Amino acid sequence: MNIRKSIKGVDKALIALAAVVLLAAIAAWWKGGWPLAKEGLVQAGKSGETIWLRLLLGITLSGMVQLLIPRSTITRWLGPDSGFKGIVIGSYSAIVMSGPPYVMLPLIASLYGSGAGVGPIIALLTGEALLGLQNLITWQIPFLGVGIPLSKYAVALVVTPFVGLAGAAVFKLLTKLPDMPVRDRFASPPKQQAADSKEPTALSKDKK
Amino acid sequence: MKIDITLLILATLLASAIIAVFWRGRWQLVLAGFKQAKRTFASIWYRILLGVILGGMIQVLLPSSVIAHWLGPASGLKGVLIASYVGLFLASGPYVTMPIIAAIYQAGAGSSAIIALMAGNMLQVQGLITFHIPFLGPRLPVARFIICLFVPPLAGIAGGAIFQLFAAN
Repeated sequence: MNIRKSIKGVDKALIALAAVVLLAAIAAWWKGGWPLAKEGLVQAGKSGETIWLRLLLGITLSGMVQLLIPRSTITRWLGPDSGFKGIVIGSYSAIVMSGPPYVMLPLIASLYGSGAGVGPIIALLTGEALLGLQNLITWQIPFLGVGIPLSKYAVALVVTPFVGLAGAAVFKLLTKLPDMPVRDRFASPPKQQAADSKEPTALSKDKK
Repeated sequence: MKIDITLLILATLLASAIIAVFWRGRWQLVLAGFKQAKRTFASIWYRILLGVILGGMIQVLLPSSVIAHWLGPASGLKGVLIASYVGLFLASGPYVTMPIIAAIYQAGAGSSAIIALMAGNMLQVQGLITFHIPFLGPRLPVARFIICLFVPPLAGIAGGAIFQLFAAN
């Protein structure tokens, strides 16, 4: 593990997180002195002992899954003319389509811009939050065991397509809300920009 | 190291994935998978560490009785609703939220509240403002957000019932 390289990539979110941890430690010290702050660290150690191997397996597994199912395949399924079944495809393709928001949102925006329906896009966004396999195996199961994450997952499998359907209906009701010129104001990440510039924007789609 | 069902399931899934990757691209692709995992781990290990420490501090700062009162199995619909909408104010990735949720669960929260809390994560206002609206314009993300406001309580109640069935069997 190259610690120096890792430290170099420190961002604002990490600084904020470190500040919150420090505040929590100060609050524990203020409430019960060193024994309580130490007890907090002991609790953290116990959690770490339980989850470290699960996390290691989960992260390795998600690395393998990303290789098995390329995003381009899903993009093809969700393309223009996917119609009503696009909601179902959008919901369940999210199972294997996950990543950080700065990767996923440009991809989803390009799908939307290239003609995917509102329902499939809403289903995809919701599915990504609720049904992402990577999230389930990398984070939820290691921290909470199998029962609770799978119970939530079973409900999410049913709910997600309905969110796509209902969201599309609400979208129609919101037609009076002005939309902003998306890519004029906000630059996409460099890799996506070239591809995005060839496609109609969400704004132009809304105007139709 | 305690070998439990969670660990066994993860190990089985990983072994299956490695076999599938090997079948598709031999050792070269398997190695690429491990490299991908290493990159992921290198970029998040310190966040996980901070998240786990934060979870430990929350456990000692919030007495179990308080968590049990607000989010415990006896808190009913009130606990599910509180847990559902806490997600609005969360602004972190799973490496922070999951240690906190696990700490709250260990401190006595009920399964319904924990499922609502996990589902409520998708309501993060920060994500809506920072990513969804800039990339998709306001109308589609707002339409989704309105519908999603109903999802965490529903997921909490239904998921809690399913979990009870799991537990009973």
